[in-house]
Amino acid sequence: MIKTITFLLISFLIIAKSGWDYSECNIRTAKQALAPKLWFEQAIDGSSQNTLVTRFYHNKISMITAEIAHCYFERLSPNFFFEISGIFGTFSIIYLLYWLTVRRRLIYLSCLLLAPAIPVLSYNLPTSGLTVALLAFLYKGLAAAGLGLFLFKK
Amino acid sequence: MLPNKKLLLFAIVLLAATLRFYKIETNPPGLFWDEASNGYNAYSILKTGRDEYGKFLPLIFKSYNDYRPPLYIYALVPTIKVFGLNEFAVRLPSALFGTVAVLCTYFIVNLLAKNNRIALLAAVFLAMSPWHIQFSRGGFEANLMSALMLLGFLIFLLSLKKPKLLIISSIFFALALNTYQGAKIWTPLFLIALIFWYRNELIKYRKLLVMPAAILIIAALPILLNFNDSFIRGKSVSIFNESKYPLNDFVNSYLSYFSPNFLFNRGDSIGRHSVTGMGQLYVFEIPLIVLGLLYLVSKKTRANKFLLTWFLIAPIPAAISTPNPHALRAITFIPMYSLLAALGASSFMQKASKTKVKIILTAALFLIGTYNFNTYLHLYYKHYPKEKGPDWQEGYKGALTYVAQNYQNYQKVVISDALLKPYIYTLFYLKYDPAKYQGQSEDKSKFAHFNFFQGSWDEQVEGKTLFVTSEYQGYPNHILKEVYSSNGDMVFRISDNQ
Repeated sequence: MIKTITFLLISFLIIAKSGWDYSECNIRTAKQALAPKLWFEQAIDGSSQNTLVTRFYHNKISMITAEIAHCYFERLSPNFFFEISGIFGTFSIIYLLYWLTVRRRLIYLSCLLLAPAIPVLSYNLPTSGLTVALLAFLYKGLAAAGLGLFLFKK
Repeated sequence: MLPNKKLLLFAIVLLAATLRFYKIETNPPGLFWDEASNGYNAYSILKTGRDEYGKFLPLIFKSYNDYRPPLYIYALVPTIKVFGLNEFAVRLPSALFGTVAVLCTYFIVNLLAKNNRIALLAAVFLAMSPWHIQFSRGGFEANLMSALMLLGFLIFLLSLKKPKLLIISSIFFALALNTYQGAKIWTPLFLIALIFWYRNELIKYRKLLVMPAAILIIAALPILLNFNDSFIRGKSVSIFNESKYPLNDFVNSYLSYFSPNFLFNRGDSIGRHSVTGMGQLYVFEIPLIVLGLLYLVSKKTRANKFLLTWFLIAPIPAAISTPNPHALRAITFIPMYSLLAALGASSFMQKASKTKVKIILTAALFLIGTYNFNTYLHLYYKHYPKEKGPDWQEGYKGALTYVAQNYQNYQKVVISDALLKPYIYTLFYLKYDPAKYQGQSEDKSKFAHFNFFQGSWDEQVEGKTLFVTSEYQGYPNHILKEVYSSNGDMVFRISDNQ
């Protein structure tokens, strides 16, 4: 009974939590950042350095991967979990990740880890905002699931 | 220990030393004002036994608008005696203790995990850690604190079999407490965790705890006797200063230290704390750290529980200050990540059953790791001096070296305040006699015939005057020298009114 009340109360807090960062961060913004970044890094290396060496360290593949990774990690970070679902929700999501890993539920784990890629695949500001909102509600649901697992089925 | 393992450890320590000492006097480019202040105060202690304000052998040093713990400054006295007042001497203790930290980590992990391979891996990960190298190459007090904490912890672990070593362990913790501002929070937290998890042994040897406790209390006296001054810095950077939702801000700050972007992608935004283009750790460490964490959580030994506690409390001193995340204030995190990566690597090597898969994954990790490490070295040695010169006040050395050679020819020397704190750099690079400076140290706008100004140069003219102005300021027509930074930007212009 106490566990059920606790679950309902905390789930309500998780779902009711509002206010998160809608800023656009996707393949489009990653591509925009690429050219100036590449120019900047190559300018520092200078023309005296062998081109192959410059391309080894500063190339489009590694830079765009870093930019896309930045967008991905923005949505798979404890701070984002906290923004979406509060402290209990953050704990619940992390607990869910841990539970899926040790129980080797790899398909569910893969889905959870792929979810932050959804906003990354958006193509403009409105779709970015929509996908972030979708992700936020998905996380809220997962937080509730994680909380349920913690309380009822360790 | 077999000879080849000794050789491996020696090679790792040599690698750590090379990465920390190589071109330390020129990279980081320039001297940050805290380094200059520490260096000059150490020089003043060496020459007169007093700090820049004339206080005899202080237990707490006044510096700009706050008061700092004394140990790093006293550690600089012998290095300045031997090497002179320069960048190398100011950074030497940090680099040396950064190397010692790698050795300590090896022995600590060997004692905790009882596995030589994990210990060697932890040592090599720390030796090449960008986060640790960054702070070992600057005159950062926090780095000395971190090494002293590791030494204290290592000797504590040894004291579990030889209890009399508790006294030596407490000495190192006491020294750490007087090394860095953050130690005032971190040292008590760490000791509480240590006492909690090792309480059975400590209760068994309780009669031997009197002396260590006394040592720690004595070490805390400089802080307690100067309580208000000791916490000026802490109060000024506290997140609770003007926060409407302090708990919310604290949790956000705390969680930022676990952010993958901070750890693996972007790092700390403060220029002195990381290179641009990568995080505080290497990308190849991601799967290793995750595996290491899973290992820590799943194997419920006392050592693992203590390490997990360390992992969770490490960001607390940093999280109660701003800005966040702050790589320097979270320096106590660094050995943990090296340990986690080592645990993860060992765990992977044990558990991956199919040899072919193991070989392919190991090869892939090795290749990515080599690429990461190479890229870091390129970014640090090629890019960092050019990008981050302003963060290290690059330009002062070039300008003030010229001033040092020529100021006797002028009635007055006027130096721009544009790069901030010009007085300490003037004292440092001119090796100005501390005995002469102490009597006039309260006024930071001038000393002797050196003036530090913000406005227009022509208001400063007094007979034959030498001017050091920034690129954006007006200047007299007779230019003597232009000082450039590593990226080719002009920093200072030296001219006179002749």
